[in-house]
Amino acid sequence: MLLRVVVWREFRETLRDRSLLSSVFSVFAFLGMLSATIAKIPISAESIVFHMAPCLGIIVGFGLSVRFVREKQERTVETLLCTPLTLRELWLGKVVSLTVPSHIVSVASTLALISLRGYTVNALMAVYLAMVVPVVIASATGLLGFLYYILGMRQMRTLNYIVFFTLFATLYLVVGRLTSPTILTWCSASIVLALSLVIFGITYYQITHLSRERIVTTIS
Amino acid sequence: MEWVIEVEGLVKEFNGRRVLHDVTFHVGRGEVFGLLGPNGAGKTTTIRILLGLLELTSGKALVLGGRLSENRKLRSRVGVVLEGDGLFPQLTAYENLEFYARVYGLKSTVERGKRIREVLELVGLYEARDVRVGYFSRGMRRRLALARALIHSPDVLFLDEPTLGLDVEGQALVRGLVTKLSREEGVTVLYTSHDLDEVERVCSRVALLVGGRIVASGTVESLVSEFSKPLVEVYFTSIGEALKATKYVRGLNYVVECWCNGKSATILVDGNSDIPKLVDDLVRSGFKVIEARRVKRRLEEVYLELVRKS
Repeated sequence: MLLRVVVWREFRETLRDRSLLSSVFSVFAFLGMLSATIAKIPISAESIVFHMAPCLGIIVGFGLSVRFVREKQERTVETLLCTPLTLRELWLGKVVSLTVPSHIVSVASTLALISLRGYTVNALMAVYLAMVVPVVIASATGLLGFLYYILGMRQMRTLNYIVFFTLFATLYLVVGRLTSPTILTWCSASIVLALSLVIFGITYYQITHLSRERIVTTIS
Repeated sequence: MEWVIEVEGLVKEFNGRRVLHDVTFHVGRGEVFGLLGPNGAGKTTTIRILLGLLELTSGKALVLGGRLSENRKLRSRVGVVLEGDGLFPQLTAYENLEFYARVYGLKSTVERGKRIREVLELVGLYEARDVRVGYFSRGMRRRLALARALIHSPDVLFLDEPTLGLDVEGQALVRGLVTKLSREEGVTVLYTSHDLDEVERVCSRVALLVGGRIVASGTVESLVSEFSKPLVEVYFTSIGEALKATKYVRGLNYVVECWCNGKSATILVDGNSDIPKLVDDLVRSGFKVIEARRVKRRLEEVYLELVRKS
């Protein structure tokens, strides 16, 4: 019940947050440039779905996850921890509200890129986009949120640089692989789903056992 | 007396460094208890332990008979105003309160709306209910934080410097509210502030925390009478007479300090001495005393004296 209340508030905030707009703009600008660059190169639609969709979702999620930091910086989390809410509900509420818009942007941009090239979406691609991608995004934003909770402000800045450069390096590698034969199979999709679920599960367990003291003492 | 807040032998260590040493105090129902002390004295740490935000090393820190960190139901009976306002800048004042009202279990929309209106009117922000908190001034945010803390009609209020950033009108509003809540609704309040004038007006009892230790506690009046030396103001016929008298009393063994203010002299005497003896000595020495009266000491003076000593 309380989780619903947190999600309701988080959604309202996310929709009014300028970082959503800038993340969406960055993704579409990147895709526009990518589309122009690879216009004459034959690429695999399944590669776009397999590599690009989760990657774009994580980029948007990373852009929005600044809200974890802001809540800690402004000490709002301290007040929230004094309410009947549990840390798990706070974390889960944020993860859900960051995952949904990131997933929508990711799927919309992937489908736009595919349709621009005149490809169609098969059943495996549809299942992957609908079921695997959101879990990948949720596990990534969840892990990021957990790290933001336990790290101090200076460590958080270092983490942001690491994630930023890792994402760009990954994107560079992904673009390079768009022409290679597809690896999107039911098996590979299941492996990605299972790995994401394991990461999500471990983070969920860690959050459940995280002490409030750890969060409070790393605020300043 | 039924204790709402119980702190006994509280010890807190951070990485082996002890920041709270055997802190003990109790707060009863409907009391406004002031926790005073200089920066770094351990006030916020004590509040955080009581709120369950920090673990205690040893001792006891109970609110409403339990530890807030372990009890969701107890947390729903407590309201807090901490250093951060706990507000969401992207949401309006109304939406912020609506969120907290739902978190605290106010289920019916009608009941919620009514209560939100009540608390917004109480802090004078009803007209600004649809404005996003991000556009609020510091003072408005602080008032809204107070409304947020009251949204669920708590039994206990923790107010950590609630008037910080408020104008004079806002400070008076907070003082009035706290007094009203404790007297009329029996709300227990733990209050910290650096404004001792405010503490003197609002709190029924205080404890002074210095270096993680409680160095004094009791009612404001008892602290003032227990820890401060008598201060006497003596009026003379002329400035010259007052100057001469000032010089004379400095030689008396029971006078601690003395300074001249025009036709009067302010004299700080030893705790065991009384005013009649001082006046008697002055008259015997040929000074024409017009009036002599004891000056009421302020909490601030006692506070400064105790902090200096500690």
